[in-house]
Amino acid sequence: MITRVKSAGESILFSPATSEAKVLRLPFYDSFSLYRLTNFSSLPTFSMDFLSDGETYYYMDGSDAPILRINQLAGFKLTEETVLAYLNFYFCFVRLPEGEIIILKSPEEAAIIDLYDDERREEFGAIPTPCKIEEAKETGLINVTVPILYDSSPMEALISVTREGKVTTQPKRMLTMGRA
Amino acid sequence: MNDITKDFESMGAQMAAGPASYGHPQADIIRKECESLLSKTSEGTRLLGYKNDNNIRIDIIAGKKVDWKASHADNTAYIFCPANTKAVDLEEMALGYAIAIREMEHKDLGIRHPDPVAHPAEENQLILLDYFLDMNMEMCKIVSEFEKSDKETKFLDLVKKLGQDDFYREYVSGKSKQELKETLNKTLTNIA
Repeated sequence: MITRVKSAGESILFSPATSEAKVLRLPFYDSFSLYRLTNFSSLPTFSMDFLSDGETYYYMDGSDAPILRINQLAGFKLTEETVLAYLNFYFCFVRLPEGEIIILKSPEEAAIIDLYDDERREEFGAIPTPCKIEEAKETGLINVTVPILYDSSPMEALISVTREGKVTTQPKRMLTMGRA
Repeated sequence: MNDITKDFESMGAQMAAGPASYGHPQADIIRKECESLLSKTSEGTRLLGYKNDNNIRIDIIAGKKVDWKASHADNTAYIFCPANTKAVDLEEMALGYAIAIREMEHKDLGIRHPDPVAHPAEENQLILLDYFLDMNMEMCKIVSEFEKSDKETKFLDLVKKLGQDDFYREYVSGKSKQELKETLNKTLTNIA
């Protein structure tokens, strides 16, 4: 993996002796998985993430471009069953102009979510409550209504996902922590 | 969220597949804007002078969040910035820029970096505490200079977002380094 992703200019970031690679299967892809390369040469450690089929590695650069590219290439399986995992994954890796968005397990979670808690952000199987998922047959959109952390506040939002995996988020109303 | 100057806008995402460069497509603009902002404070100006005097290279890498890695081996600080710069506040990038230079300065200051191979875990904990203490104090030094000229500076929001508001208030109130170390130790213990 390191040989394939190593760049000439930034080779110091990819030391085979001090790096560890991990792979995570994603329910919305058959052939592509998430690969994480962590360099332990110094603390704090740092990681770089890639989508890959084991041959070609697409670097997760904070935009949605690598994700949309793989959606085109890899047989993107967007269903009512996989949409939450996709959205958790999408918001974990894509930095939007609105700032960081996190789908909350509940509105109350807004009070305790930690800036440094990457593990929580990478919990792609997290199920929010309340949660409404509807497929709009005429448009092909899957619409998801869930509590989210938006601009540091708990909001109820309508999130729409196209068949290609494009995501739009519309905050609907502020939520009070303690009740939806 | 975004009020970055107009030059610091998105030019679209970079796709880095395979052994290409991970360099950010707007690296030059990011460097320029960060340095311009930092030069408005004396500590920022000092850090930029240190960077120039020591020929430290700053590489801007596209990444999912603002982060940095200082590499003394090649005299380079790698600073990560999301491909879409509209997703980032300039203040956050500039602070990362400053802290990365400060970390490069550590070798001259005798501040050790934790090394999981060279040091036992207990020693690494102590080294890590001193490392974070210096980084936090440096951050506070810069932010407090911005606060002097603008009581509503967005750097204060950033300090809150980083969960370092209490540390910052103690810093500006004149607490000693040892007292700040105890505060930081409590924070780190709570996180753990």
